[in-house]
Amino acid sequence: MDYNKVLALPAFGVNKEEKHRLFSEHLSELTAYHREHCPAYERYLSALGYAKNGKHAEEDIPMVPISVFKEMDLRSVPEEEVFKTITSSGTTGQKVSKIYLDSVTAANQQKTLYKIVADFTGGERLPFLIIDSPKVLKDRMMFSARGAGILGFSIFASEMVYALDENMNLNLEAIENFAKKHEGKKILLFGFTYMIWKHFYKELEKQDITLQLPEGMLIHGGGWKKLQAEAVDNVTFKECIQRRTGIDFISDYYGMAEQTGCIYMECEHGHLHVSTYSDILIRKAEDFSLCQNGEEGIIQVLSLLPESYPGHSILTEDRGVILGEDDCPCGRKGKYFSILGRVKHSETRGCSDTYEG
Amino acid sequence: MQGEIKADGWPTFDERVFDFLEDLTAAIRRDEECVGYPEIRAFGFWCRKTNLMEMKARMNYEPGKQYVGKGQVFHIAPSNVPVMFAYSLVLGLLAGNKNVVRLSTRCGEGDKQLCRVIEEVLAQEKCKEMREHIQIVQYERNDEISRRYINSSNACVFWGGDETVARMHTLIERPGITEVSFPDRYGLCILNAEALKEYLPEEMEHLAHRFYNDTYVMDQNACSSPRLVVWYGDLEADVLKETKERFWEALYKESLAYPLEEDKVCKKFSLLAASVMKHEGITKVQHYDNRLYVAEMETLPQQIEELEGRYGFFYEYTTSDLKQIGNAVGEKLQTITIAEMSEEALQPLLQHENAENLARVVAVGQALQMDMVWDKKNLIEELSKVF
Repeated sequence: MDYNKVLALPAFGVNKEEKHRLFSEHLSELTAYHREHCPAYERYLSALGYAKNGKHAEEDIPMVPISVFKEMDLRSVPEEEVFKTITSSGTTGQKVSKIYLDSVTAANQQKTLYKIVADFTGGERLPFLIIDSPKVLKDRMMFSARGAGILGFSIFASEMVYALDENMNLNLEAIENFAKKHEGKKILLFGFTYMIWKHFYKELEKQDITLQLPEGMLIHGGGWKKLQAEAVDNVTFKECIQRRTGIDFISDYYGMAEQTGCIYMECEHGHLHVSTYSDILIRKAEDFSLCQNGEEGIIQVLSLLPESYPGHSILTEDRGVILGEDDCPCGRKGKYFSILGRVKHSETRGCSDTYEG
Repeated sequence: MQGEIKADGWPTFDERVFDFLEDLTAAIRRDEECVGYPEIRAFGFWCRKTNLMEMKARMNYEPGKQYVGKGQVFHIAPSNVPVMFAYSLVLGLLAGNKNVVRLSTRCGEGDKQLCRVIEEVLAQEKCKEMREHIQIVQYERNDEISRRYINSSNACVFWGGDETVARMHTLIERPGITEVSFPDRYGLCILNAEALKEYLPEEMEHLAHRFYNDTYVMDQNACSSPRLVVWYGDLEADVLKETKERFWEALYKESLAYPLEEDKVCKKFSLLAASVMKHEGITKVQHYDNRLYVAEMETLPQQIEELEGRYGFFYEYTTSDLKQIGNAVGEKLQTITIAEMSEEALQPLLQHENAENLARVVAVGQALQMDMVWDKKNLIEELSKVF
């Protein structure tokens, strides 16, 4: 399978039938490839009864539960070919996912990210204001999701400035210089949702500062869990940021370390969009059968990107619902969906106390 | 909180405790809320006099000696085993003690209802003395508070597995405090394949129902809930296959009653994938929707306790040589549940040096049945003293 051929397709220009055909074919190839190169994955599929060299329809491609990347080192390339290891964000003491990239997959991730984001921003390099501190990229030992996000998006940067200082405080001087220098020009802002809320917006509020960035495009990701706790939803977030910065283009994205590169971006109608390079299915908990559009369930993500690790079909622990396909008013083809949060935690019975911090 | 109790307790199996339990049993039976909790009803049934007398008869009491409680016992109940706090409390009472029981702040609705009933019984005028013998407390994890309760008691009972036991143990400051601890344990199930082959459909259903009670009812996460099912016997391949299928199908039907939350499905599926990837001995996995997963093993791992299964995820292995099983068990094996297995057939496993902590062999369905002897410790003996 030549991923470059897939990459050449327009980011949101493939319709339902074409998508299904493309994915069934390529995912089957990827499955066979990973079976051959990753012994643990082969054991898994073999025990589950998947015939070798089977051709599967997209919806029948076996899934790997996302947490397995925390438990096992899953690699389809020899160790010496590992170019970069991405880890998922995690609090200290928690296991993190380890995603092994060779140089080909790493490059493909960048190219894919570029095509997706360019569809929203225009593709040219822009002045880039990072809503984070310079510290986030300094630890090169383990490449965290936050660092990966920033580096990934830096392909759009003509120059990079950090909005926060080493102590996570607003670097007003840097921000104001940046705003002044690029007054009237398109600029890109990026950061993790909660960081932006806590260290950027709330600080602007506290110090009663209003920035003038009407040409700004804010892309943010990382989830709403912490903001939910503060009763801040997407609508509120947008309103507040708009008020304090003048930014109109605010786009959330859904992504994960386990499938870096193929993110799902929010269009002007508030819909998260599935690009040509990945796909989403919603599964019922009872038996993993498919949900219809409009039916809530557990999100499965599929991607043609993962070649160095068997991450092309993953069952997440997020709940979601597909709103439609090919017919979003924004004009983009492909599915569009909503994330409803993490799968709800339930108490497990038993004698051993699991201390959940 | 008092200082160290120096006074002796009541005699063991005291009439006053019997009277209280009789009132409690009756109250539970009458209570409208408790009707909806089978585990509370089971507890009420367990507290009946005939059962208490049966336990007393099993004590090795020497004539002429007096057996009384040690004084005060502090209990740490496991956070997620319904009604367990009450069993621990009653055993402390039967041993003749005053009891302080820490109930987890994460306790379920059932436990709250049972506490209410206990309180209502204790509110009676005649229970004035008994009130001093029962204190149920709740507080967020707080080592300081636990430390004070522990060190003002004569004995402690720690449920909750290795982590809890280790933490509580470090809080004991005085020598002479009796510690009764329940660390991590696991269970195993052995089914006689030849006998089960002959089972009529109803018999298989009954067996599956009892097996469900040992497992799903506690998310398959009780220390005595089996994760590995051993098919004992030497049947022809297709006959064995059919027998197994009948059992698992019957269990699947039982599992339809299990509240299968999304969260549990994700965890179970994760356990399955990780397990299959790790254990090369797993050759085939059957899944009945997401309600029941069965991983067939061709070879056992070094230690059976490595096999993790929860929410209805079982491993199965066939052998007619239980010594093989013995080779793969360790000090954490506590309970074996059986169907149609003779004492004789079990000997190679029971006698195996690795099964040092094997505490009980019971029929399928009895895994969670509480007794005064648990994990080889006689709680009445531990919590009382002799003159």
